[in-house]
Formats: sequence, C-alpha cells, structure tokens
Amino acid sequence: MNSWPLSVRSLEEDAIRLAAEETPVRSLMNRSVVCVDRDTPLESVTRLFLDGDITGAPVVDVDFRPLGMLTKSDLLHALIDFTKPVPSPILRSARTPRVPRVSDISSPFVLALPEETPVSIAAALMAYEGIHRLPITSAQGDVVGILSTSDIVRWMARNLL
Amino acid sequence: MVGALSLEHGYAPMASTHLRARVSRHTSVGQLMSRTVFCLNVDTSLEDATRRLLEQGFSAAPVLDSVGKPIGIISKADLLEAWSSASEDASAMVVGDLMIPYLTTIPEETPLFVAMNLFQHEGTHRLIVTNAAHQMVGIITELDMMTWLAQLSGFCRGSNSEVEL
Repeated sequence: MNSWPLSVRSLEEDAIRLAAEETPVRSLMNRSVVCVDRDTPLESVTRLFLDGDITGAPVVDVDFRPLGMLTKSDLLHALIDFTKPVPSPILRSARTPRVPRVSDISSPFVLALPEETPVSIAAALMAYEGIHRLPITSAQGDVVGILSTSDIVRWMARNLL
Repeated sequence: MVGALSLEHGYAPMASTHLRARVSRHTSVGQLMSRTVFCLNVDTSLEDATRRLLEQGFSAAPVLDSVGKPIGIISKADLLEAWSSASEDASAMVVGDLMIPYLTTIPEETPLFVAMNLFQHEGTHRLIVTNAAHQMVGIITELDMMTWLAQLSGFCRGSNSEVEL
C-alpha cells in the first residue's frame, strides 16, 4: 500500500499532525547547544563529545553562523585513519606535520532550519536525510539551538498521552 | 536508515471516529520497524566493526553470538570511546569486549506511543523488536518516528517510506 489510508488516521494522529504543523521548532529545541570552532584540535573535540555525551555539534564562525556539522561518525572516521600504523617515526612526523583540526573532517555544508520552521518539516528533513540533529538558526542566521530526533520523540510522547 | 512503513495487514474502514481512534492508538511498532537489521558478530574485530558501521551509516548494531542470537549492542559512542582511549588497545579488541551485554526489546504488537515513551524514559535511540517467540524480527529507531510524523503531514510517498520533500 502506497500511502497511509485516511481511514486509519485517528484523532490522536490528527492532533499530532496539526500540532506538528503549527508548533515551531523554537519551542522544542535545546537552547544550550555546544558549538565548535573550525580550528579546534580533534583531540579536544573528542574529549568534549565523550565527556559531555554529545553526538553532534554545529561548526560555527565567530558570529555563530553555521559552517558545517561535526558528528561522532566524522570523529570515528578520523580516529581510524589517523591510528593506522605508520612504518617509521621519521615517516610519521613527515605525514602528520600538524594536529588534525575540526576543519579537516567536518562536513562542508550544513542543513540548518530557521527557528519558526514547523516541527513537521524538521521531522521530514531528518527522515529524508537520515540525520539525527539539526542546528536551528535565528532570523539573523546565527545558531540559537539544536533539535534532535529525541527532542521530537519526547514532544510526541507528551502530546499523545 | 528509514524504516518500511507499509500497512501490510491493512485496516477495514471504520464507521465511527471513536473506533478509528481506538484502532489507531494501536498502530503497532511492527508496522513501522525495519525488518532488515544490520548486525555484527561477537568475534568481529573492532576495526572491522567500526569500518562496517561507518560504511552502512548506522549509529549502532545488535551483536549476534555464534548461533545468530542477539546478545548485546554496540554503538558508535562505545567505539569512539575505545579508539580515543590511550589505555586500551582497540585494534586488539573484538566486538564482544566492548558491547553492552543486554538489549532493550519491544514486542512487535506494542502500540507506537508505548515505544515513544520507552525512547524517552530509557534514553535509548533504538529498540529491538521481537515476536511472540522472543526472536528478533526488526528494529525501530527514533528516525522511524520522524518518518511516521512526516508521513502524517503527507510528506511520504512510496512503499518503503521514501520521504519526498
């Protein structure tokens, strides 16, 4: 069957759908968002992620405008590649002339949404892109929060009961 | 990964809104879950496991023992911890050394809102879906919930719930 048949849409689902279309992401997002700078060494970011239980952080410029996203997957990729055995100490120093930084591995683009975007759009974007979090920006374009799949699930659970 | 959202069983159209509400309140986990589950074996090396997990783009995978029974779960967070730790030699470890040796499971007929509450209270992002014989039949993630919500607003087309924006 191709689409959700209208007959099974319940009152709860209608309520959820309406709420998702009317509620802006602003009211669900987490306002305490950890952002990282492009020049931060990867080692410190890894510590930050592990200690703070963070799964992804927006990479921002000095005005907190989003430049990219850094996730645990990016860090894992980097760790696996950087920990490959290198033949000799001389080669090692030649190959790694400087510490790896955020700008070396973060995604070069970012999917961010303005804070007045409806929750339904945010959910659709996450489902379509297969991503678990979105930076939320103000009208001026600076990051003011972060929205995760968990935030939306929590919100739905509260709405359903 | 976006789960299959197909109404295989179908529903008879209901006359009263009251009945409709009751039926839909029991929209089950089994209808939304992904039936194909990416798993890792307990004796796979950490390096191999990390590469395969990254390749597949999943954030965690159930761990199977030698007879194919799910016995735990390993996540990217655990792997990141292991690879960045100086005291442990991650390249000498296998999945079994690092996995969390229990699974949060949910029966496939469970209503969706129960799963949502589990996600919220357990602080987990995925649940292993089991049948009456307690065998793993699928997995449901928070991302599947996003698909469901998007579908309510008419964003989804297609049988395997590809979302069209």
